[in-house]
Amino acid sequence: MSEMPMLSFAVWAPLLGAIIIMACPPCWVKGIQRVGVFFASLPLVLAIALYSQFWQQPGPGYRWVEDLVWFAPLNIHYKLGVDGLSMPMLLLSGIVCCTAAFISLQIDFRHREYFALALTAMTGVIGLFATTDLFFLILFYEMASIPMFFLVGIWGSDKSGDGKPIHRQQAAMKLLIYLQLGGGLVLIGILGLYFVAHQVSPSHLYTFDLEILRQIPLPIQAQQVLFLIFFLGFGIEAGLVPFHTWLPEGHSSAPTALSMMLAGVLLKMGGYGIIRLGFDLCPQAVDSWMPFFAGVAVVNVLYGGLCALRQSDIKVMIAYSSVSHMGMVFLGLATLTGDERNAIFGLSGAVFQMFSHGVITALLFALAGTVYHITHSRNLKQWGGLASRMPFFATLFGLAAMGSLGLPGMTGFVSELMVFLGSWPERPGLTALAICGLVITTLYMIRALGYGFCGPLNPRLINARDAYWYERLPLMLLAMTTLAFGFFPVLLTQVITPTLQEIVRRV
Amino acid sequence: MGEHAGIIVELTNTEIPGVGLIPLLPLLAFLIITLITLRWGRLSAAVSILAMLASLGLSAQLFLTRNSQADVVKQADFPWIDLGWTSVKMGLLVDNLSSLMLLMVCFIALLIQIYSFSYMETEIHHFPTQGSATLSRFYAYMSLFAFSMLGLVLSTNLLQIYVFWELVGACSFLLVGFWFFKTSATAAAKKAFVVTRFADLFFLMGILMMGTKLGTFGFVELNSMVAGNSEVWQYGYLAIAATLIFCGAIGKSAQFPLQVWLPDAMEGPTPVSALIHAATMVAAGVYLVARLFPVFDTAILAGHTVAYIGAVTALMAATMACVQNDIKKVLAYSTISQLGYMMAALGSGAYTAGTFHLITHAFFKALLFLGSGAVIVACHSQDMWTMGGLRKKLPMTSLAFACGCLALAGIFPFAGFWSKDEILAGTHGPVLVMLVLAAFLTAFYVGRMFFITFLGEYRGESELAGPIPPANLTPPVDPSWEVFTFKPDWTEERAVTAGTGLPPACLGAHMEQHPHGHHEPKEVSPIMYGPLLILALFATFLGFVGMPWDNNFEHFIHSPFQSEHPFHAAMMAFSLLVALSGLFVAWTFYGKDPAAGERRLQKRLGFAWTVFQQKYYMDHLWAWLLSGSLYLGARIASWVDDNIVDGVVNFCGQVTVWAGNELRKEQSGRVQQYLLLIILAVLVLIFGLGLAEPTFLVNPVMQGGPHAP
Repeated sequence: MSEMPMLSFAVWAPLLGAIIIMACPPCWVKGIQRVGVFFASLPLVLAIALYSQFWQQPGPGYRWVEDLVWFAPLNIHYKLGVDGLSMPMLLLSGIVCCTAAFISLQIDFRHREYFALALTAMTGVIGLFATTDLFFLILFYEMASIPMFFLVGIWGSDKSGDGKPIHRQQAAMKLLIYLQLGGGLVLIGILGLYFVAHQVSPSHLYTFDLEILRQIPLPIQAQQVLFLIFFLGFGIEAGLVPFHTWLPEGHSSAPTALSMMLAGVLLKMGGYGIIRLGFDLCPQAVDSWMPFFAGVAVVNVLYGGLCALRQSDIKVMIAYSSVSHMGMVFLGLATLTGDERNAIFGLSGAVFQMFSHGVITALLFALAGTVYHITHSRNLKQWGGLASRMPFFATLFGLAAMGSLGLPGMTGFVSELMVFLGSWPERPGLTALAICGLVITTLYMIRALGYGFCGPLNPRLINARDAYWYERLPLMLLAMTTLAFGFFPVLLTQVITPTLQEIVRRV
Repeated sequence: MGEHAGIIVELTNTEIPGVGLIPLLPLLAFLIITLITLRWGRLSAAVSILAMLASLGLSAQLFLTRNSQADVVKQADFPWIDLGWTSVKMGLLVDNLSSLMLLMVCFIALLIQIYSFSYMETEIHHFPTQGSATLSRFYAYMSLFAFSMLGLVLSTNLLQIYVFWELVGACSFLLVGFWFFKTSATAAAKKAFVVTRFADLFFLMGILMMGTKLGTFGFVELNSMVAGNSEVWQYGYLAIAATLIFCGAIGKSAQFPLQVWLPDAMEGPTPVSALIHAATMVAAGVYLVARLFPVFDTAILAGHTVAYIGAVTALMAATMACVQNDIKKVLAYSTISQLGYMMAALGSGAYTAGTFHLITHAFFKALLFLGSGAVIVACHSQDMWTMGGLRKKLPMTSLAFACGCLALAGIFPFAGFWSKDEILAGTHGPVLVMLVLAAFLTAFYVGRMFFITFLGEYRGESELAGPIPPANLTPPVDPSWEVFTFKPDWTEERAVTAGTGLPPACLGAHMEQHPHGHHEPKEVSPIMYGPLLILALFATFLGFVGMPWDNNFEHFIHSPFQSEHPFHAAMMAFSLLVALSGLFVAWTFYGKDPAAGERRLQKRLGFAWTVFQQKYYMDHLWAWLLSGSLYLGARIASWVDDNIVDGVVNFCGQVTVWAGNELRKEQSGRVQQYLLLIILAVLVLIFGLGLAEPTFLVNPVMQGGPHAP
């Protein structure tokens, strides 16, 4: 393995970019944009390099570990490292951050502040998946969530279309409160873990280190309580019904790049945290809680889908579709109560779904946001026939819609198939209901495609343009990712399987 | 009943490329077209046709090797999703049925792609905004479809067939909605996709139910497992699983009650209708049932379901075909009806008959659709009442079309006669009665279509045109318009009233440019009628491979399931009689004066005529069910989300704001009030804590606090 602190480079590069940008004069727009895109792309380059190394030598355990004592009295370490679970998430963050930076070139005012805040948030979301110290997990989480408040409030947009209006300042507030609520619960859980672990095994020092914590067998009551706290805390971040209302407001009001990061990466933090802290640290609590949450998962799938079906504002629709898709993640996670073969299907399906949803939703938000930027409307009724003016966007929107509704050849199908394969033997009834969710997804995705891009062209949009190169590039990257991983799932499964097998064995 | 497979052999490494390339070449063509030749339509067409030709060569080679190894099933499986402990596989399955299907699909796809070259050029000519990439787009979709369909045929297991099943569905969506600026085409594509996907939900459930219980998804394993196992506890389970799987076939093959999408799918360009909605994709449901034949044969209940659904569909669709005015709609209903025949045969245990009809039907129905396409190009209309007398004006086309009609009607010695006769001989009871009735109606509507279109005088747009306004009752409205008032701002109706000055792209379907003035239909180009004549040869002579007394087809397909019925002269004579009488009745109505005949028919049928033309109100029923279930649910869920879930959240926020406002008043600036509060607080502290006596006050040093090493 390389001696260079590759992970640190990947994590801190965007923040370095943010500092450089703040040093620039605000009128120097081109330079700020270039620096921003460059530093946001570095993590992707590093992530691809690490990922390909990992793929060639798959196996359990953490790699590229960096360990520095940060605050000795509380035994807090600056510790980074990735294993088979965090590697795909790191790659996902890299992809989404890079593409989001390209899409950010559309921003047309206060560039300096925008890029500085966005790059800070990027360091946060990448750090989340790279750290193995729980204190730093919280730190990165805050670093990701607080800039988002400003990004939504200042550069966001308001909802158009039917139903309740959404204002961006209010949405930003709600977003921040929810993120802090989830983060707060997780913090309580982590502190509980910190103290309980020491109580159980006084031979260990107080520690936030994941690797040490997972070796300490906690009493089952403690596991049950902690599991619930983690599940709820991370569940809020992952859009668990009924704690999901920040999603339609926050995601839809956010500027395009931030929607991509929120839905593409931050939402995944929820699922990742549940696996990492819930399953890995509290394995014995799984059987007592997950049967209940399997039911909630199906509610997520159907309820999110039905709400999405009602929306005429495309960004709100995509946000609700995220609620629906994250339900599949929960359903996959719930298979851990069962037989090993089903559990590995379900868990891999859940991880695959997180990756898949991250890419596809980022693509959908990027498309919706860009078309909004061009047409100045988010309301599907006011689009219409755009395919004749923007064939590139139309093709990719079709691709993304098909991916979202689970067409084979893209990642969405693979993940949903795995979830169903794992879940059916355990809970056929609930799985059947979740399968019904597919037709709801089909309905609203195909409708969005039909209303937005097909039919006669709305005369208001006669002068609509097709994509510029800096829009094509990130969109193609996202589309190629979902196609490549959908055609060759082995690209992902080979990395995640050894780690997930370990987790399944523990449960 | 024996096992499905005789001998199972692994495909050797030298054979795999030959088989694997059959679907992969069209995929390669798709990639080349989308990535490289998108701007050059003719080049794209050449790429696509060449790939198809190569695939045809490979599948012909494969087919020829099959004669010598009749009952050897060759298979190769590769892990697709590999999770160490368990995996999902993809593979190639070569037996006689699949090799025959490969040959059929490649051959028809090639002919249709050649035909399309000329057809699409004229279509594109009508739509001024359609640029140079349109032809490329068409051939890209066609190649993608060919890949999906060939992959479907070669599937070794249920999950793989589901993958390609979905892909052909998506290609169908793309091709039905090919003229994306037409509202009708978009709506039809959406309907086709959603309806088939709705059916696929049950298909997926059935797959999961069967596969997870029996521990395998492979066709060969499943069939042998089921055939050798008659445990009662599994029987009911198996029947439910098989019925659910059949639901997928109901959707894809447009069987009752999900037949509603196929007639609408005729919005697609005619070659698409010929390839996807007549010859190949819609037959995938039949192919699926044939693949799992031992399962349906064992689970009698599921088998009966297949037979009855097939028979009901055959009859129902035939009645609807009798009242259509659009030539493609007649053919669409006839396709549904013929697919019903195949299903009825397979469900009744007549494996050979069902698969034989699948093959013959593919040829003559592709012929009929392509023929109708030629007619549409010549007349610039799809309404049969604006045609007439085309026999003299399009001699080649009408010759080929007549062969197709005779084959469809089941007249000796055309292909349809032999296969339909076998089906009738293989079924019994109510199913047989329904199929015989449907056979009569088939001959009737075929006769009606042919007489109106090709005999008499050319009517054009003149006074001679037909007496019946097409479908004069309102179709159901899109439920989302009603339930959500979710209607696009700009519609084709508005485009018409908005007047001139708009660019063509804003006009949708109204941008279509017809040549002005009086127009005489003339024979289409040889690129179009060439394939027609080739198909006509097959429609005429293909039946001879399956003559009951020397059934080469049966030997080749190698049906080990039952000793098929012997030569059945009485049934042959009877079915011929039924077909001839159908044609004769059609002649009495439409032979001399078609318009008068149509009026007579309408009077005779009375209320039934309305019911047929309204498709038995199935569209209305589904629209009503959709708005009553999902759309209503969406309204409720959305209301709950806005008002209750989010209401609670916002209420919490408001309470916080309110509390802040109230507490703010405490900071009044009056020193007396502050002093009072301080005294009260101190009192509370003293008494309250004194009572509770928390331990940390007694022992203020925290025991064992966190220390660094």
